[in-house]
Amino acid sequence: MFTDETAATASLSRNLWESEAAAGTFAPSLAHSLHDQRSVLSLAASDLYIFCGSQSQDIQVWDRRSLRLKESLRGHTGAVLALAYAEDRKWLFSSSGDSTVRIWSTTTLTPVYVLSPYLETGAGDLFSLAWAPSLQTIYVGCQNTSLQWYDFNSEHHACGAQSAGDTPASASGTSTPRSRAPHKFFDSYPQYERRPADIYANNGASSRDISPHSDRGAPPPRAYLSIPAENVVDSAHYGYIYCMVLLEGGGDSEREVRLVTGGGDEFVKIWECSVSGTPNELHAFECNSGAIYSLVVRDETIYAGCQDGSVKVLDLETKTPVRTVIAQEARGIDVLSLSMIGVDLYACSANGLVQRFSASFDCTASWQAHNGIVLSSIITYENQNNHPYLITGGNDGNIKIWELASISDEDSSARGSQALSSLDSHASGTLLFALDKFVSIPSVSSSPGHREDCRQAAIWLKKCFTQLGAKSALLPTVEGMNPLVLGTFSGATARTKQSKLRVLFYGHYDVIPAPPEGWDSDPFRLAGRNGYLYGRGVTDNKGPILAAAFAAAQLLATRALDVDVVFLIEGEEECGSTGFGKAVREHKDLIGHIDAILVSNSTWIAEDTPCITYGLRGVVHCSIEISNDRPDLHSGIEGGAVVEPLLDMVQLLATLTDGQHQVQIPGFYDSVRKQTDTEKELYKRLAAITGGSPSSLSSRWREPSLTVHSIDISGPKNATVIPGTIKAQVSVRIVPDQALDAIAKSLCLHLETSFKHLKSPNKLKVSVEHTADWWLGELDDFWFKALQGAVEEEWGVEPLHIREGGSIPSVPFLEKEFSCHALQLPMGQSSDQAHLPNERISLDNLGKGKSVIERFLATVGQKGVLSPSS
Amino acid sequence: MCRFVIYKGTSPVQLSHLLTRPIHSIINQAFDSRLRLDRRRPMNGDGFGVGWYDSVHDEELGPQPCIFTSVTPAWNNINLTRLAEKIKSPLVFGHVRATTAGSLSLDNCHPFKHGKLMFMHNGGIAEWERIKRNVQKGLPDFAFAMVQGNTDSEWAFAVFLSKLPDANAQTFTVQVLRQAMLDTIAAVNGYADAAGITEPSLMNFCVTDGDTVVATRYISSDKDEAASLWFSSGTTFSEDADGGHYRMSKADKRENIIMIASEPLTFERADWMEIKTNTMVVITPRFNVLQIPIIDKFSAPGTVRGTEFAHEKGFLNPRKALSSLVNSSGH
Repeated sequence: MFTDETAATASLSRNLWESEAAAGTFAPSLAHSLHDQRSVLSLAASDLYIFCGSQSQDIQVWDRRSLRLKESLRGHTGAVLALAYAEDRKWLFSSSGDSTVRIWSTTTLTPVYVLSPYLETGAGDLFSLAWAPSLQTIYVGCQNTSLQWYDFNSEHHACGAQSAGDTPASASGTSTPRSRAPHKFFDSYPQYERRPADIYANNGASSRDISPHSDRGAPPPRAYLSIPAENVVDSAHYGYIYCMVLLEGGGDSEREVRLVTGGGDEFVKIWECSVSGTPNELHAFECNSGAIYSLVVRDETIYAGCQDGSVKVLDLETKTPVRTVIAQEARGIDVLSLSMIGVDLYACSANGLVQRFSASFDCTASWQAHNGIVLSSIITYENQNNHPYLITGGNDGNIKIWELASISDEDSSARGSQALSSLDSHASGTLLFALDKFVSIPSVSSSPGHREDCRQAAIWLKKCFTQLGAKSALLPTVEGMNPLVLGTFSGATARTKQSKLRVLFYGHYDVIPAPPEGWDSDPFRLAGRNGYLYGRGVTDNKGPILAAAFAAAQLLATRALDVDVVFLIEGEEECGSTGFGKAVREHKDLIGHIDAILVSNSTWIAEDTPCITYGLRGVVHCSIEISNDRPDLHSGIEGGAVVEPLLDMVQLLATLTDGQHQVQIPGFYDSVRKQTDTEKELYKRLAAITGGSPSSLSSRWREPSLTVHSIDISGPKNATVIPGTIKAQVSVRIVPDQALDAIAKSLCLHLETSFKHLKSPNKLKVSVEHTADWWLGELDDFWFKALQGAVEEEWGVEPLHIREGGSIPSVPFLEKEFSCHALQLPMGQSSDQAHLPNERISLDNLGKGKSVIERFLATVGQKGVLSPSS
Repeated sequence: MCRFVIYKGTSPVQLSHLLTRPIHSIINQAFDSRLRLDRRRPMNGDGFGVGWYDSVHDEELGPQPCIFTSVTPAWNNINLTRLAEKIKSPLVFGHVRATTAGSLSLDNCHPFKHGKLMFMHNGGIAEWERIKRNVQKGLPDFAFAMVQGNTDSEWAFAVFLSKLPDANAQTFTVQVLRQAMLDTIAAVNGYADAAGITEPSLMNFCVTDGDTVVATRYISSDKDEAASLWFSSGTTFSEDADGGHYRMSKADKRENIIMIASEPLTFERADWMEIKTNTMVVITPRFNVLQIPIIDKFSAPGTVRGTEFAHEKGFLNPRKALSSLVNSSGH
């Protein structure tokens, strides 16, 4: 029974919202894109990183989990044309137009060796690489048509190693770069100088050192190695050796290692390789389809991507061409990269298309992956589970990560248990999939045109809660307002009934409008770029809601949920939560008893340090109208004969503050709490982090303020008209211990009294439109400490305690209603752009946000079991 | 010994990027050649020639290249500078000449053309006067009649034309041009053998039909290096730093620009590759660069060739010039 539940959870990623039958034939969905400035020529991936070799000399290292740029490997002085990852050594090989191969440690991300080919720059660009683990040999395909190799196996064979140690492997890092020999041309002097060439000639642009010993500021490698003359097959092809792939085993003998190379001479060649031996050419296929740009091998079949837009399929066993798959009909649209997973072949072309071919060579998908040329591709798996991704790189400077369907020929009976064990990593994919769906529903509560979308968002969310294992329902509020979504995850029944704690998570599924101006992608389609997810609502508040729901589901699925988690998600938050209070009171039975409230609807104060919010300001929104009960008048005819409402309004508003911007409402500051020394100290510390001033923090967080938002006039708004009616919007932010009702009343009273002093014949109307009380959290109770601990464990740093200048009316309301404390966990960073174009949340913050909530729920669950009295 | 440069690109190049602007442009090579050790007279100042094809095919203009030659030194020709600033072409041959003997004449300036085909040479055929009559005898009338000047180079072009199945064809396959080039070298070697000539000939030839380029770095010797020949390929060739410091960049696996030159046009070591001696370089119409060893009795894989001979030919030895270089004025 339990397995069924988790299987349902896992399947959330695939077929709940799409037709199950069609799922297999869909083009993969774009999971994320990373942006480099220049053409992406080569890709490789380790467990932790995605490596990207580009036109710009550096190798970019992206963290696979957060999809943020981790490091740039510096050293090459030309485009990085090929990358190869050696899992066994934890090495990355990179080859470049600068005629060097560089070897990097993928654990420390530092250089290990620099390997020069035979003839150094005479070998030209190094187009291709293949690592043979069983031979501990790297093969290099060169522009000068030679095939070269270097054996890292036998340490005595470290020929040409230039290092202080005896062998490269034992080198102590004190390597001395050899002095290079002067070149007869590149280091020559003008003839009239009659001077022999030397290395100081400095003919190139002065800033550039293109010798293998250029490290461009990076730490030096352990040793400089050179490929000896005997490790070279000259004229291995007649053209550039563009690509190579290694075949280990599977041939006549299990230990056999074969290398397949493809060249600009239209040939694919098979070489038999042995330890330190010259590769022996076994066979050459003439493809007659232009240059061979890419190769993949499956079993005994070679697939070669060709210049004329075809993929040649060659059989190794019989040494015959099997067939030609036409990927691109138009001539000149070359197939530049191939990747294969299972029997699916992905062909990447110069027109930006990627096509998928099945075992029977049917084209099962075709999509525009890049604007421009797709130059490189690899297949990777998310951690240990078999969730595959295709990563493509293009000359548009983008690296795109495409989510592929899980390998389908997996034994389905094994899947249940597998899903259980791999739920953790898998669920992050599911979370993103769900967020994608959620964001795609434009639930803009302020626009009547989106009323139905809001309802659909509520329905979707209810379904999602149900799928995740909660009991879920829609609760109507007042007529014409969006419903509440209630979802209850029931924790395991505790030994004593009353000890099971119940946490209420409050959030909102509505969003503010997102006109497309200023957005880099469709606001209602989740787009992942450089470790961030973009879309309206991702940080406010759809992302945090789903992170919390998935956290509860995760605990539920692993039988670790010992509290009840009640999700109460409204649809009118961005419009002042109209009807929320009433609906909550009406459905209090359904919601049940609550021990603590958790809200995640704000952001950190900076980029890197997690925060917990413990205070909010309150707000009183007030509208003012002054009218003379007459139509709009011509100022040339009537001017001077009427008392103008707009002048009254200006006078009236002027009475709200004095010249020092102090609010003049009587008694306004009387009950504002005095700032303590501890508080001052805190603001100083936080100001250092945000780079602002402590006084700015305290003004925003703990001092009241008054704002005039707008003055609106009736009539045509031209320069000869006296408008008859003037409306203004004013708000006051209030702080502890100002009393909301008292402040609202004194505001109205002040306006009315001031107006009376004007002795105007016009009419004043003042109305308080909506209000929210301030809120201060309890920093010393068990709940806060549990949350604090969860953040600290997950992020490894103590969270900052911050306040917010804004107001969330429901927080103080819920506290009062359920007589318990609220906790506010900001999930995103200060740069998340909530309410602005390009709203975003980082993958890292979303994932860790989920884990924090999971830890928090687990902690309070334990506590609940141990000491029911808390 | 002359200097030449070839450009083939997917998009037309402004001639100045080859001829005048790069730090070691062909014009600079004309007065400051670094790979020619002719200390007595180090100039390639005996005229020059530029040949180029149209960027867009025009029926009325036809497919043949346009050639501009002059007997003035390339660095001192204001017309060349002016033309180079205003002409763009997807396929260019440029040549600066150093006559070692013989006439300074427009007819003797490279490149030469016949129909769509264009040809130039850097080197010299050893003891040319001893085989000249036999070479001419072996030519069909059309090839014999084509020759206007009196250089070994132009006669070598005539031999090349005679090796084509149809020298006036509208199109040539890569294979046909490759084979004709091999046949030309073999024929010249045959005449030299027959005459008992042992001195090596330097045969860096290049030919194009406007689509394919075939060039050779060749010497009829298994001990010596041939005259220098380099190439560079990539996606853009642009000025990276002031002072003509051009740089080849690679934004694609494929090549958009391929240049072949007697000497690199810049001092960017990683941008230039030396072509091995006795190798044929082919730029296919689809921008693949093939480097095909020329296998004959002069192939010597694995041996280190001496560089003295080529230098010696550049170094003007007066006695040698009298005995062997009379009339062989083309290079």
